[in-house]
Amino acid sequence: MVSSLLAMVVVASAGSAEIAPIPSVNSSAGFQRLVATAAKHLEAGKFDAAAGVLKLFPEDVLIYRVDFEGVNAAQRATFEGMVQEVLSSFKRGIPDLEIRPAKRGEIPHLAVSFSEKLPNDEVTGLPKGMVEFDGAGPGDIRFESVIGLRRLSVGTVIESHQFAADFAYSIGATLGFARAPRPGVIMFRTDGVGGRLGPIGLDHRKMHTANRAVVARLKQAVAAKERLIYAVPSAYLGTTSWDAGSVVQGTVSEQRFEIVNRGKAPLTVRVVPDCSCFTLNFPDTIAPGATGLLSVLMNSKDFKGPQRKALFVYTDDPERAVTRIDVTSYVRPVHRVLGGPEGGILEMTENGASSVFYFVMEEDQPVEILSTQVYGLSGVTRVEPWEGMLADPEINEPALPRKGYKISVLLSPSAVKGRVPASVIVETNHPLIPVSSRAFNVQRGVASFPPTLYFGEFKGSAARGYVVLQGLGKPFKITKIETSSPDYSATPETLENGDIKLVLEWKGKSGAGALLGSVTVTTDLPGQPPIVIPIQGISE
Amino acid sequence: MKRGWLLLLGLVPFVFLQQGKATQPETWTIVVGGNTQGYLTPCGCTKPMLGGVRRRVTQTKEACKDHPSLVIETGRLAQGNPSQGLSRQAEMKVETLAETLRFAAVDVIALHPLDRFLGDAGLNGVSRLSRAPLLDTSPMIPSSETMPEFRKGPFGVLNHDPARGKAGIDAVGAIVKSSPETRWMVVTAGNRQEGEALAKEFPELILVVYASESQIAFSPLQVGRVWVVSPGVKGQGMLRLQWNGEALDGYEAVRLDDETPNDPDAARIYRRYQDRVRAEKLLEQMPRTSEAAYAGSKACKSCHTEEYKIWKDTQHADALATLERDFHDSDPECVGCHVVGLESTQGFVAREKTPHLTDVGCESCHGPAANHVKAPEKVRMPKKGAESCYGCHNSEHSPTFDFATYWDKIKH
Repeated sequence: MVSSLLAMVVVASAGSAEIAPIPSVNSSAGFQRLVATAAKHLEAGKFDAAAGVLKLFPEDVLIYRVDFEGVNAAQRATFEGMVQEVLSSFKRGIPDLEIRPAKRGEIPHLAVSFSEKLPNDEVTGLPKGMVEFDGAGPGDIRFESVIGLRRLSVGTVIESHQFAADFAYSIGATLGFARAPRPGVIMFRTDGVGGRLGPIGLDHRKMHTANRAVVARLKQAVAAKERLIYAVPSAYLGTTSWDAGSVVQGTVSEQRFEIVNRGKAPLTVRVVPDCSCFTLNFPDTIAPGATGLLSVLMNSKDFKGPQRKALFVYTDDPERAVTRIDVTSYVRPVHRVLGGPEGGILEMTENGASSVFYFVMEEDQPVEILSTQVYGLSGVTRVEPWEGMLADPEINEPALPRKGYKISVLLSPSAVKGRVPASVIVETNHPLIPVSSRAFNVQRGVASFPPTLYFGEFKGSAARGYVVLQGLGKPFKITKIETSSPDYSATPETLENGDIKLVLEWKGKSGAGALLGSVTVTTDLPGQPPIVIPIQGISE
Repeated sequence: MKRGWLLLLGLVPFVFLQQGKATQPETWTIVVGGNTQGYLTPCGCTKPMLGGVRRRVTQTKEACKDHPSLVIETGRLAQGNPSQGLSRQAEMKVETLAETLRFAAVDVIALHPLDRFLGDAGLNGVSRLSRAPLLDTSPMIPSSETMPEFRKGPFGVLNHDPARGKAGIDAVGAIVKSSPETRWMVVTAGNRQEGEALAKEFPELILVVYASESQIAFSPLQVGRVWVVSPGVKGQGMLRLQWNGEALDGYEAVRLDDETPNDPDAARIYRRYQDRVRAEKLLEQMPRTSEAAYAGSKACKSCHTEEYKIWKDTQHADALATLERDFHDSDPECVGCHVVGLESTQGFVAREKTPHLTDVGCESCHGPAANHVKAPEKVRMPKKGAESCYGCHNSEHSPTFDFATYWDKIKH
């Protein structure tokens, strides 16, 4: 809408002449440059020159030529197979486009050739994966790509999927599709990184239709000897990074980026974030000489710890088709529950069990505790103000001074069998992040860790592994070991801390198949029920 | 003509390189993956989701087929914080991850500090199932299951825990200095800055792998001659590097998207994990933390006929079937967002037992309505907005969620 209004202004100022069409924001810089050249010719009334440029663009048929010189026979067979795969993908994605090889003597729209090794890329220092050329005028080929057969400085041979990605990219570039910054899409050029070819679908069909419309309009002007006004946008971004700093979780950080259009045509802008945590606001179109504001809100609600995100700014400026904006921040949890039993295991005794947790919160965002509960087992909690030093290993934070509440948990005596999970849940008045919790395990007497011995898949007639019978510091002895079958054996070994390592072996005669056995251990601890350790596995 | 200068530029250094070699140095492929955090499979309702160990095995096999290889797993195996104790499902996931890594021919697992909380028996399981040694250069908790260094071919691998401070640095330094002819790599549990600091401290290293807070980086960072890299977070990608006999010179950041097929061996192991989750009835054992009374979507139909009809045609009304197709319908981590009221003692139990609470229904967004159904005028349902979506459509499982776009699909 804005774009059309601006175009109308230009039209009005130029009398009867119409502004030349501007390629879509999704088109390649090469395509945009060629369109600009044709438009310049049309503005100058050089209709033959414009026609010469426009002749480069494929219409319903894209003709390609792959020169396999330098490619050995085995590689060539593989590449030819990949060519057919890529062509099939394009056929599925853009059914009304025919792509065929050039006949003898025919000038193709796309010429692909190979070079043993290409010069280094200035940024990465690695050899380029491809060098590309856009044709400029009559007699030229619309798009030429030279694909490096060796991607690394010692010459690793290009892989078939890399060739497929580069060939697909070459077809897309011939059609005027913009290069994508991320792998997994067809317009990602491999250059030795990334690689797999993404699907060709509706987006590409739309891009093709849009580009064809631009070329058709220019051809129409040539045919009618109609002069058009040449105008090109030019995008300028002063800043391409944003460190949002250390923020409390739930904070919505805001930043604005100025996008200046230094060109003579309206600038179309599209911004794509790599995270749903961004809310973006930007003008679709920026008038010549005007400045548009890209407003970015980053919601840290779903994240904790250090973050690195990115925004990709696409424009229809031929010189600045895509710009990456790096966004970094450190998100401090607004509140969290730390502490709890050492090793995450709380011992249940005849008198119950108790442990201390710490609800810590950010000083500048105090919250109120509405309730504290224990889930998994019955118990009560007591809450009192607290401050001290604590680490948070989950987000790699060292011991730091923290403020909040001490939550003393007292669990009622319970006939827990082995080890069971429980958690402390703290409900707060924080509108965005109402709940924090911390999980722990409760154990009564001796328990096996892991509770099941899993052999997985194994070959042969023997398997061996171990569990540790943990007594939480209390010495105990095994009085009896029973196995579900004579194929199993169990050998105890007392460890320094009083726990018992129980080595379990299967020496089966039953051949291949699933193992479903168990070992039952009785200890001398009063009141300790027998510990059953299931054994699972697959003998191949 | 264009090709002429290209050949000159491209071939001259290559020819020079070839002539300068007395013997052909051995090329190695180095694969770095990990930081899986229990994410065995991409989880979510928005395509394409990244990651998954089944895809990782495919890509690792592909990467290692041409040259001798070194495959490093960077650890942080379990989800959550193992220092708080592991859930049964988290234990099974660690076992499954380890067994799957066997098919990726992982050479060494460089433990993350949080992996130490798996205990000796848990670590034994990891090593036994993956058939890979476990690396812990400077252990906070000594373990009989770990080794301080790993060597293969010309390479040595160490790990580093920033929480160990000077002791951690000294442990790395002592080993690196003792064997200068070895090409050392260090896997640090620290972030990029700590990775860079290590690279500066030990310029003789060839590679530092840091624990990233972000998606995989598409180019390596170079500190002097040391490459500083990260495989990203939650197993969404993996790195493929190349060693030319003298230096690292190849880098491919592989995003594990849905273009990568699942490896059949890994898929078989994963399927077995799903069967174990089902067999151990983990869904039934989930703690029910509320007593909210749900009525089921059909109870809404008589008064909200039009809304019910619209809902019936949405994907929400078929949400559990999407899990059933992938055998995830017994997975406590998935089912909650595909049924009504899994958190309640009066909520979903199983399709057969509580068919009226199957799928994402009216009450998934509007809240428990049994009391409203009994007395519609007396008990009013609260107004709901976008916030009722965010529980399931969060950035983890639905990264491209946009309320306006999605609302259009279910507008009623």
